[in-house]
Amino acid sequence: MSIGKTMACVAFAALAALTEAAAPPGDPGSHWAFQPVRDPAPPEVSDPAWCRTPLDRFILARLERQGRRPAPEADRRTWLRRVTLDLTGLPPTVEEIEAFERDPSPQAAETVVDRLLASPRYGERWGRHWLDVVRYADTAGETADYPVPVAWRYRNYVIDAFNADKPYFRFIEEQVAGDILARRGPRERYAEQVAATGFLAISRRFGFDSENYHHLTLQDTIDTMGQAFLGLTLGCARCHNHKYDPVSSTEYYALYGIFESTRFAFPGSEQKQRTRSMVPLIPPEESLPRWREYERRVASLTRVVQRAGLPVPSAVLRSIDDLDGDFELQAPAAGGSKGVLVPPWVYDGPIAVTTDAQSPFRHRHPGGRVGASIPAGTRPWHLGQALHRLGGPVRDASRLTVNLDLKTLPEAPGTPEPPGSHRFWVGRDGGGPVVEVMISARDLVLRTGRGTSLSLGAFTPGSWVNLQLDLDRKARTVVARVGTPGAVRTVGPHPLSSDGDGVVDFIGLDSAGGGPDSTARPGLCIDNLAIQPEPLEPVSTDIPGPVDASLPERDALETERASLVGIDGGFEGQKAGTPPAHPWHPGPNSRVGIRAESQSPLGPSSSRGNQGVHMPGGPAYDGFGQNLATAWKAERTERIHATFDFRCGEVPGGAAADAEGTWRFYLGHGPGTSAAVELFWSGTEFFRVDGGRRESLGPLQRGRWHRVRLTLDLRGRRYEATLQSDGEPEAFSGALSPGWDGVIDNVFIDSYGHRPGPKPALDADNFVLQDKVLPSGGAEGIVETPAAAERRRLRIGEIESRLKVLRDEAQAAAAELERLLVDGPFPLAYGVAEGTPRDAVLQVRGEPDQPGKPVRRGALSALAPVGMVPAGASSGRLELARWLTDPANPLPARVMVNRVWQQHFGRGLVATGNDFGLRGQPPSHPELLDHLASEFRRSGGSIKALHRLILASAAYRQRSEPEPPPSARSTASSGPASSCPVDDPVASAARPVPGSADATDGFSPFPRRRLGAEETRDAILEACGELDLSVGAGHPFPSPTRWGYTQHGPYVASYDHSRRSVYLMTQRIQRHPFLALFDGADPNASTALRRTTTVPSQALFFLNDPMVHRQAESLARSARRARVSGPEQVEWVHRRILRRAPVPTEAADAADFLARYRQALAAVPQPRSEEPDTRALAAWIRVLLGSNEFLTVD
Amino acid sequence: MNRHAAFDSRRRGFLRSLVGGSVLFPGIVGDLLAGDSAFPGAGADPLLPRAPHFTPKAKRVIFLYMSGGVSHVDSWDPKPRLFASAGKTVTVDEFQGRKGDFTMYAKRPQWEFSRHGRCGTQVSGLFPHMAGCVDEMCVIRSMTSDHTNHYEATLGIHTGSFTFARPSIGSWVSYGLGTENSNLPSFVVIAPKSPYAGGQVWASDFLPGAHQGTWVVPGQEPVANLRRRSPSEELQALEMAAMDRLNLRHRSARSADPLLAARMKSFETAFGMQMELPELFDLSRESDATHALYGLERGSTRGFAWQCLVARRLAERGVRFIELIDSGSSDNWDAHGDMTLHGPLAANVDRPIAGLLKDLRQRGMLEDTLVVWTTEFGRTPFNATADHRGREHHHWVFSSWLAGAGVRAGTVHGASDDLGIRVATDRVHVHDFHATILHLLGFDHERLTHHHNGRDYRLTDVAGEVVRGVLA
Repeated sequence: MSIGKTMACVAFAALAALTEAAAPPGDPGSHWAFQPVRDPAPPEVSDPAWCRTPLDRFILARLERQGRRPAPEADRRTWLRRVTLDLTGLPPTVEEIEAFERDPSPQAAETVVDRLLASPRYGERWGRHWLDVVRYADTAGETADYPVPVAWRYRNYVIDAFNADKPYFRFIEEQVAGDILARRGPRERYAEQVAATGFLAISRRFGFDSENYHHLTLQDTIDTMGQAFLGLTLGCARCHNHKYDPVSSTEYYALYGIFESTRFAFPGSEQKQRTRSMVPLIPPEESLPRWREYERRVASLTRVVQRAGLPVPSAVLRSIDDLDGDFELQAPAAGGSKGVLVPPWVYDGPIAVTTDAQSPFRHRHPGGRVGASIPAGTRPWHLGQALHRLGGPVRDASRLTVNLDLKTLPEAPGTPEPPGSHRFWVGRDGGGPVVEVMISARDLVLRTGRGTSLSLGAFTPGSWVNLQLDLDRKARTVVARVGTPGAVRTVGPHPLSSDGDGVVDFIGLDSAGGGPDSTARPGLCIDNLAIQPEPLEPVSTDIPGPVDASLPERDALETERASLVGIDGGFEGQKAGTPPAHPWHPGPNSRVGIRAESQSPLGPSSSRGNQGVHMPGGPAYDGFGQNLATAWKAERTERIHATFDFRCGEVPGGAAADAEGTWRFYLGHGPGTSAAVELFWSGTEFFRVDGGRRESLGPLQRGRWHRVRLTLDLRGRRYEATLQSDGEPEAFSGALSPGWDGVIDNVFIDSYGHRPGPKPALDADNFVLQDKVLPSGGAEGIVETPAAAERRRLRIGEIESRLKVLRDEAQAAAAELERLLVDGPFPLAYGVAEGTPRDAVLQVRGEPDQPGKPVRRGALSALAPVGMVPAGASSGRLELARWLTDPANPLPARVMVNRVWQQHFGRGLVATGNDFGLRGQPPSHPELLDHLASEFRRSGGSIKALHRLILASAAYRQRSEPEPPPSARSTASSGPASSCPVDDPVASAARPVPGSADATDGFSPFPRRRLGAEETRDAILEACGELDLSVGAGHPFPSPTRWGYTQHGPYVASYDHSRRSVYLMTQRIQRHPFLALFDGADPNASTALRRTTTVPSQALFFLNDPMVHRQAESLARSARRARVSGPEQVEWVHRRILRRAPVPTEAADAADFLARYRQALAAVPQPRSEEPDTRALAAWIRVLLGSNEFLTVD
Repeated sequence: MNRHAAFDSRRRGFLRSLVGGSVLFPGIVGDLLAGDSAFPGAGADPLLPRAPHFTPKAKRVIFLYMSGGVSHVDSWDPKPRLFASAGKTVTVDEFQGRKGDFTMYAKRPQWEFSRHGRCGTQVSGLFPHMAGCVDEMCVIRSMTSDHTNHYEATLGIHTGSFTFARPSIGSWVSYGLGTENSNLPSFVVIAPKSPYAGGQVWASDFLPGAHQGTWVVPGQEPVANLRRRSPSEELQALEMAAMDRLNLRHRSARSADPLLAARMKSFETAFGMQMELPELFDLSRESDATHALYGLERGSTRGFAWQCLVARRLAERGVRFIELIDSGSSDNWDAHGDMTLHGPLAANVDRPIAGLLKDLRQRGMLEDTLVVWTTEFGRTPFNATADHRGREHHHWVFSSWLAGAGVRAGTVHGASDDLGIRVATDRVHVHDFHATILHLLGFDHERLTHHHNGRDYRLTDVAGEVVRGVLA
């Protein structure tokens, strides 16, 4: 299977090698883009007066060489609209236009640019350009497209970075290595820098279990990084040396190793439906204690919720410092998942993630699902990870506790026990262990240095044992605790190894347990591998931590209440004449109801109640019952107890005794899925079913109350029961139904009997099912004085209200638990962290299962005369970031100034903004590109300074017309001070198309453009007064506790709001309908330059989309509120939308339109209440919103 | 086509009505009326008709896609030995994406096979109506794909890429040919539900957005914003006239600009679509005989019959690539639990597809229409247990068929092995399948390329051979 292999590159390269014409001239070494950035002097021009800035000389010189003249200067209105939309994505207001037109200052334009650059709207506009390049999306893109609720932090980081004019080279560094830089301070910039690594985390995910395809995610990372920062397509080198660009396969895997040594936050996938490894936005020294505190709180809440019988939400959020060795977050092999460990684990050998290897010991979490197992035998193996989660190598922490749960697997009887050992160790990666524990089939031996061995005791193969090591690094001693709950043996303190420097930065397990490699080792299961600075609680099968004091109180209150209330089934509080309410429910079409006459007189409690359940007799079906809040299973509950009282009345119309229908008591799984016990009765006889056989238990007396009490032994699959009227109880017992499936979650009484026929009327009461023993007591009637009854009622009331408080507390605990599990103890980012640093192994032809030689981590050698070698035990990302931004690296500055130029002029100086390689297009103005790149470097990478430079130019002030149109000729000489002439067009005629290649290459005239997708939506909302300028944050995703997306039912949603479009939730698999329609960026691949397409479905949007109609009506209503007369309303909306007053012909057209529209409207049936005047005005507004003037920028 | 011309005159009539009684802009409107391609500027209309590399056999494609993986051994690929070996063990070295030695149990096909047509091609009882059309088809029994998972395999059969999103086959065809009818999109997908891999299946990716598939969802508003929201046609005509007037005024102060002109024209086309599409979806004027042929209940928009009949109407109106997806990412052919679930799914598509083939034949359209029937992969001829009632995913071999323009009708191409486990002869990879479809449309699949991010991309990646054996 060649999944994921980019075969394309192989043949592409081969093909290109054959086709000489396709090959670019020259060798990569002399390619323009790889040459150092020069700082060329602006060329001489014959019309220096035209030039406002040095860059204009470059533009003009080229035009002059072509014998062309620049286009005349645009009028002030046009320039203002252009620059305002360019910088903020929103059109200028009428007031801004008028103020600018009135401003006589020579610095007027400069002032405008400063104002726009200072607006928060600027970052929303320019951040979006960057988000295009980094293919930002709010979902992961694997088969079920899991949502990433915190991805927005990176989006906002980008917006903020542009607003703050973050120096571009720092912007690069933070996106590549922000998590590492954050640790170097300052503290107040920690969160921001960590959030920046969202650049890496938002890489696309693939497949059903996306971690199986992590190599594709890394390819996407490298591709995007290359295009975004370097303008190079590095992806080709995955399978072979790049034929054009100086990137070898070896260099590709040098980069690959850097990202493989990085831990990516995990968004969830079909196979693993939870997020994990989200990165804390606070430093480890703060996050670790808070995480511990959080885990204790989670454990405590879990206990409360569990004990209250409420469902415990599955753990959603996992820390990068999780106490289960992170095995939990791997998946067992199933349905396309390979069941392997993922980074930061480094491993080799026959390791499997399985449910069999789940430890029974609980440390903080309610319980996991999987651990890791290694089969018996001689095959070597190892697994381990670097301890970056402790914030770096542990040097000065005085204490360190290590936890491991383990179990060796017993051999089949008669097979000799393997003599070899495995090894568990902590110490320095690549250096020596500080402590080692040898694990053989039935004992553990501690080693703390050469020749020092100490037995930690024996255990039984097949049974789990817990090992904890306390390292006191000040005293240089270790204390070991080995055992099972309640039986822990402590060994030590024992001196630590004096070998090495004592640094702990790695935790590992392997087959190096001593002895020759050929020695067979026992099978091994491991789980809950953890290391932390604080001591751990003793091993337990229960979640450790204090017992919540409210629970004994609740138990006592419930017992007291049971004795006071007795048994009543809870019918007392319900409304007479209605069917029994929650937790009871009536059967289908049933006539069951609550009534006072159905109160059972049987004790100990019954006379104290006042209502029971009644079902009329007859042939029709009737019944009531309940679905139990918890399903009882034999594994967890041994016995359950049930009781109910009943009384049969007459059969309406009468029936012969042997033709009388029966009632049924059912206890078991579901309604009718699988019965555990079924009992039947008519008015005169009681039956049970035993082993499938029906058996009479004797006669009943019609009109008399009877009581049934049952105790089910779920494990023994038997029951004991009594049937009692006023005499002695009659005992009977039997087996649970042979076909019972072991689940009890449903109980009911209904008329589906073993014998058809009209059934007697039935009263029922005191119907209880519980796992506590029922209060004892006979079935005699109770007599109570009114005073005693009153005291009892008062006490019951007190207990009830106290229990309600406790119940509310439990529910609040459940809610808090869910919130904690979703949100965590502190803000988290979708970012990256350091993993386990390792060099990558070259993948032959891009196939991960065809390993080649290992490749030293590093960067591209041909690009900058600086080497790049990762320092010590780090991924190398920081060094990569420094290499990317090294002033000697010519590409980043060139690529970025080109992007900025491109967004202002619609086309880059290099037309292929993501490809500066040998296959990309050469620059139209190479010297200008270098001039801008040099200025950019000089400014320290200030993008705002670059904008000022470009926007001050004469080139940017040109008209979008090659020559003044005839109507404007008379005013052209008056320059930018003249107002936009909107003349009557009758005199105008079509002019030649200025579409020659030179016209676009020369950036003259200024290229007209249509508003982009976000601008279009924002402009409509803004014009109609509906735009919400507040900053967006996360999206209203469903709670992760309810995620279960699959490829069959992927995550699909669209959330509308009135904030700016950059804040819209965008998915990878299903594109946002609006953004897709209007050429929004592809959320799956880097978009250097959006295309503008014109398709009729866009026109249909303006004609028929509910949003356009809604907005137009909103503005029409505002207009009618604001202005009384028709012409004033027209002018008002005209100014709101086109930002100018209508010319007389337009005003006349509008008046004509409104009149004709109202007239035509009168002929149409009016489905809505809106006034015709408003509807006509709304139609006029839609016309303006759909117009070219509104949607294009000159 | 006549009705096309009729519409054209209606559109012109509409335009004239805009200026009726007015003295405004006669020259410019005259310009617009002079011809639809008045603005030949670069990028003005990516859908302008274009000629392929050589004279094509097919002018359009109807691509019938069965979602979820149709069992080849229960439909198009008769395996007598599988009937005979039912319950016996088979050893395979991979199962559902996992490597290793797996002992599996051969599972008996649920439907019996028999010979059909003059050609005698064997088809199972699962598709009794399509079986009647085998003389039109070339059944390929040696299809093979690269991935065992729905998402990747679905992406693969649509885009040639099993991982990264790439332009879909329909987008490539639209990119290569443009459209014959400017009132309609060039690439239409009719699907009741979103498929595996979602909209990527019909996305244009790095090709211009105009080439993405337009998703038609059977029901009340098959295309977004198609329903006129203005209270009457007259009112909307007023709005459009007013907008035209504004745009003409705006344009008159500027040089002729394809950007501005194309946008004006797009409103005109949209207005046309608004009229033409509902008419296209309105099947009431189709005869009773046609309804019966497709097995369509009059007035119903449910089921594959509606999709097939609409496909024929789209084909008549010049749409280049029409894809029909029978189901979605759930409740489909993915019969892991019980093969009998193939029954109702087959019943949904069988008669309509047979009806479509017959209808195209009798209208003379099968001469230049290529009909493609496929799925993303087949289903295992074996199971992990002997009594398992379903079948798992099987991408090693499966069956598809081609019919119509340029196809060697009444034949079978390629074969699987005795039990239908692997390709035995004439392997047809998804890339080969795509190369062949493009060939029939007049394209050299190696030359239909688009330069993007430093590379010339094509539908067939770097592979694909035209399958000569299926060509007439």
